[in-house]
Amino acid sequence: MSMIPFFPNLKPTVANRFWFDMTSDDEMQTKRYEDERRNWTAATDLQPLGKVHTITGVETDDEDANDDSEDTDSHDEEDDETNDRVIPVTQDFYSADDIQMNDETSPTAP
Amino acid sequence: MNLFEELDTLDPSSKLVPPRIETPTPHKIAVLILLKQYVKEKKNSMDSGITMRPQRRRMFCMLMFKLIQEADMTYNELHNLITNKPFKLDALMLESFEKAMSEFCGSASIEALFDFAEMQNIDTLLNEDYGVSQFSMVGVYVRRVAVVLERFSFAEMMCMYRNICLYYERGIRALSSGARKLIVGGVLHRAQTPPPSAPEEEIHKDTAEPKQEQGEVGQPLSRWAPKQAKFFINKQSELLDNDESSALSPKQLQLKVQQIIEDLPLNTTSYFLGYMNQLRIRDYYNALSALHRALDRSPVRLMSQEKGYQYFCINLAVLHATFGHREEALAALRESIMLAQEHGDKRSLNLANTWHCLLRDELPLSYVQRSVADISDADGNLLQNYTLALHFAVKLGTVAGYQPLRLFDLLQHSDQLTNRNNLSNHASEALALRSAVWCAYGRHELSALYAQLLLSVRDRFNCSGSAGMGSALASYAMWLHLQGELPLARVLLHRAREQLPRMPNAECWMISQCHVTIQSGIYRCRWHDALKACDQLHLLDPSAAMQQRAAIYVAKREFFNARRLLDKLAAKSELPFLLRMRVQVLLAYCSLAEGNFSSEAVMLLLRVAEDMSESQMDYELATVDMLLAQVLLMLGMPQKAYQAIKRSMDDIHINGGLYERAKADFVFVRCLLAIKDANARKAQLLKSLDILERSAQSFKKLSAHAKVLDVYVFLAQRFNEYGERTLRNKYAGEFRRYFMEHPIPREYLGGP
Repeated sequence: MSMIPFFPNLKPTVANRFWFDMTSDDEMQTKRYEDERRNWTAATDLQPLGKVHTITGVETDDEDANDDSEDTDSHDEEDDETNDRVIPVTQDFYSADDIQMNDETSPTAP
Repeated sequence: MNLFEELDTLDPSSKLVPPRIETPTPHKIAVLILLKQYVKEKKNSMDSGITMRPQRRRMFCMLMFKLIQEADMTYNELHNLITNKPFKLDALMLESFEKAMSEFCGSASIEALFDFAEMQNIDTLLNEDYGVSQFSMVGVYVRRVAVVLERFSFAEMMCMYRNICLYYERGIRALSSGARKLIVGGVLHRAQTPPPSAPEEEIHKDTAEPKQEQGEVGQPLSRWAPKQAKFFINKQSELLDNDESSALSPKQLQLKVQQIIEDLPLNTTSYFLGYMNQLRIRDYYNALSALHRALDRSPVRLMSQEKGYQYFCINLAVLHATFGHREEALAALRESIMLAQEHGDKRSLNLANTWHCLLRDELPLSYVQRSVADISDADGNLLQNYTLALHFAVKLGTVAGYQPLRLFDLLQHSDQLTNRNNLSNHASEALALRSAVWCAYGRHELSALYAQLLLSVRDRFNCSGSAGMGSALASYAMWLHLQGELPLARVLLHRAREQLPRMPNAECWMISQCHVTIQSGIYRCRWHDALKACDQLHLLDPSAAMQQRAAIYVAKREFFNARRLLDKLAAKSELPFLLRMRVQVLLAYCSLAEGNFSSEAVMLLLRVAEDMSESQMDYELATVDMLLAQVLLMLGMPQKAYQAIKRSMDDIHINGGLYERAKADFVFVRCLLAIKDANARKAQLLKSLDILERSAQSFKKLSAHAKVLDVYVFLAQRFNEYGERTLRNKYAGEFRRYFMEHPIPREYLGGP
């Protein structure tokens, strides 16, 4: 009828902090996105002289076509990184040339 | 989700495709609007020269951190947060926020969103003088939202705007219809976007909302962002480790984990949290499959370093160990050690070795001693391992009965390390361990003190649910019971049950409860209850259960049964030192109480006394002395008996329970009487009357009815001898009165 010593359970915890310490570099990622955006806006501010012609960039149209329509996590970001839509920003109506251009470059054109 | 993305995540070193920034949710926009109000106000205050109160600024910063890191809320919840303590905004800012929100969603059109997303607007938020720093956590948050909003096409902006309006409307409706009415089934909801062209449908949808937990993949109104998920997972996993009752309940946690997995399927830690949840409720099969799932979902290579599967092998071993499958755990550990050696992963190797030692209950002390030299350059993990090794060595040493001085040296060493490196859970464990070590060596008072210390600083250590806390609660509860405070003991055990509801942490309070029941049964001569509790104890600690059962038989005076059990116990090889000593004492008692005063029994006692004094177990020695005093009295050697009892009185009164103290008093008085010659005895008895009264009171407090009756019988008999009729009648009357209330069979009187 006496005391019993109670020892604490000395097993280390299951989760190793190693797993949960994976750092994600938010700052770098955000900065990269901002720089790209800035470069893109700077690039499209230029008014090209003469006739505009397409510069085919990395084809991301496949991805667009395969996207679920509901998924709006913007694939536009990938699009924006490339300059394959050189429709000048000042133009606010489609000209005949543009329609032709789209037909040529669009892979889903009949 | 792209399959290529999934592969990339699982093997990140091959292609450096970064994960995309998450789409902002309406909650984030609302938070930014709130921030804008604050920045505006701060600018006004700077312009006008009146500074904002620092407390207000601080509370707002805390509010922003909370909003950024935690999961998305509905608008009404956000509103409740900013209108109640402790984050209550002052009236002006609240009004301007509400006005801004209503203008944004009500009177203005999508232009408001476009204006908001303008770089100029964002720049005011990030202004150096009165905005937030762009490199701070809030600043990065703002920039992430801004950079995604900038790239939205018109259709997406439209969608976004509609969602914000919907979010706002739902929130307003909830606020107006009643406080805390959760509209869409919970804090984090997946809702279907009702078509905005049918506004009357919305009202019907609201009433049917609670069923919409499993929303389709529409434009979600709220969604887990990676940072929020990370914060949530870290917090919950830490709570599950240290304070399980404060974590979310298993069902809720499972729900949240599933939501995170749906929203962020490439996030690996969420699967691991799911596994921990399954482990916590002791669901073996689900835990195993959850662990496999987490393994499947984790990248094999991480940060250009081959990680391999050794870490998961260790986790598999831990899983088996938690469920008590010793062989499987050891097999998994062997595999993990091989893998760790293959991949050259020192950290995993250390962890595997630690578990190996813990499972086999052995510790190569040379390893411990060798690491003394390396201690300065050890990284955090290694340090924790080393502290753990020290604690384990102390535990093994105590159980084996080593010299306490060496053990306390080790403890001090470990304390230095923990204090230097702020390892708070190790510090609390060290306190619990100290309490246990003091207890094992008989200084129960000190042990209770340490337990109380740990219980009182548990908030500072943030470890309310850890194992150290459990053992402190169990130990202190038992101590309180021994002091006769049964209700307090019950309160503590109840508290322990709440904090640590499940195995394996629940083991200590369950054992404590069994012991408390057994002891209480022995005191009251309720043998059936005590034996039942022994059966329960047997599942947790078989040897202790056998010893307690033997103690019950001894108290019942069934010496044959007791001896049978004790012989079986004595034959076992791997008993803790303390238990072995107690078994010997009980054996000696058996033979003495039966009436045959063989020298063997006395030799046994003396040998035990020698072992105890070597190990410095003073209290146990004192109890042996008390037993010796009783024996010597019976043998007719009062002087020696008196010396023995005098030797033991101090220790028993300091460290003993109420029962031992009362018994020691009783034996002391009997010895006193024995050493006096016949005519002085009466005077002596009258002088010692109050000691006996006190011991009778103590026995009454413990409900040890047999002993109370013993005391009264003794007094009545002695007074009868000395011819003191009145006192004799008085105590005979007490006896009779007490016997009426608590009739104890005659055979149990005169017991130990």
